[in-house]
Amino acid sequence: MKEDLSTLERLLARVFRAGTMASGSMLAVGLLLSFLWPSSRATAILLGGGVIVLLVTPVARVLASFLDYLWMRDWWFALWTGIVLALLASSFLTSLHV
Amino acid sequence: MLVTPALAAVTLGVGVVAGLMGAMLGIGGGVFLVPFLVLVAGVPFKAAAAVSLMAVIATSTSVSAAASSTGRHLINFRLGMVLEVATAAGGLLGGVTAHMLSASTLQTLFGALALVVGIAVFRRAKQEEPRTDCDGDIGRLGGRFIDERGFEVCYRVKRLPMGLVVSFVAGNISTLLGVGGGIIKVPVLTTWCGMPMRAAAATSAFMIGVTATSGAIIYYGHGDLIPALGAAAIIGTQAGSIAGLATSRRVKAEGLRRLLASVLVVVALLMLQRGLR
Repeated sequence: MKEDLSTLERLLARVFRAGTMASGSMLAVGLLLSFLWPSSRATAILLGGGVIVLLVTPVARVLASFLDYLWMRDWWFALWTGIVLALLASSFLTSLHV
Repeated sequence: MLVTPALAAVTLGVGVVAGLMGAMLGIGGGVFLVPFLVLVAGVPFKAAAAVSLMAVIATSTSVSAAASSTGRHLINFRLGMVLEVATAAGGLLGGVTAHMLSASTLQTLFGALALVVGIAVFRRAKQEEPRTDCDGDIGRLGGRFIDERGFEVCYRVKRLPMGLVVSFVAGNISTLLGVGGGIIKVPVLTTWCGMPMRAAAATSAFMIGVTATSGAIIYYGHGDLIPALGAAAIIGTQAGSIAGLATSRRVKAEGLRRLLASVLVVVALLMLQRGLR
């Protein structure tokens, strides 16, 4: 069990690091540009992109865990992470309809 | 709303404090950001909640990235994923609760709960960290990690139903008040569910990203987020999280529990004052 957890830990660490670095750098440049050219397309793309990357990171983490548990045939935890994914999808659908 | 460099700089500074506390205590920092943005910066509540929830996700990802890279296994992934079901369900049903209770009633209830939990944490701050024999059975959801002195620490999780109920409530208030809910989860995990402070803080930081995402998606979809203000808060919390992790290693678990209890009492009084106004 310890080995499996270490594999998952490494996988999730990569997802978290990628999300943090990509969103942080896009938002930092976007924020600076917003003071110079507030209405520019580049500013909107960088700020919007940074926010979306950050929003997607926890979802990507749950998806990665779900796939990893499926791969390990740990059905019990695959079920739990699958439910979390479904609840996050429901939030997304709610945001479209409410 | 126009985000001036001065407003962005102050928001970034508050974000640093939120990230610092988040990394040390496993809370997202929304309890600091929302009152600042609403009461000091004059930002509408929904926009403040949207910015705060994004900052909570930033704290969660930064702390989890660092904690899962150290090789100390501080995050209990299995327990975190089980509690996340309750927390995500609570977040999704936040809209239902919003129709049943007014914002002021919710703040009063949250304040009262935080005060009771804060006092309980203060009273038990000096207790020994819970641990189990590492050669024995730690259960399906128990954990093992390397502490700050390099020793392996093992623990069993107790009172899981209580953890699930608290996670549901934390998820529920998260969407409505724009906070991560870690401020309630960490004390309950350490005081009643048998988790050592550092493991509870790291596991809570891991969970609050998902808790906040449920609400943040809804606010973002409705166009409530002010991108430049969100960017300032997120950059601040990311920087604060890195500083918080470095500081946390030098503070004893008892010190962290006392700090958590103090933050809980301050937040409780702030919420009660806003709720009873």
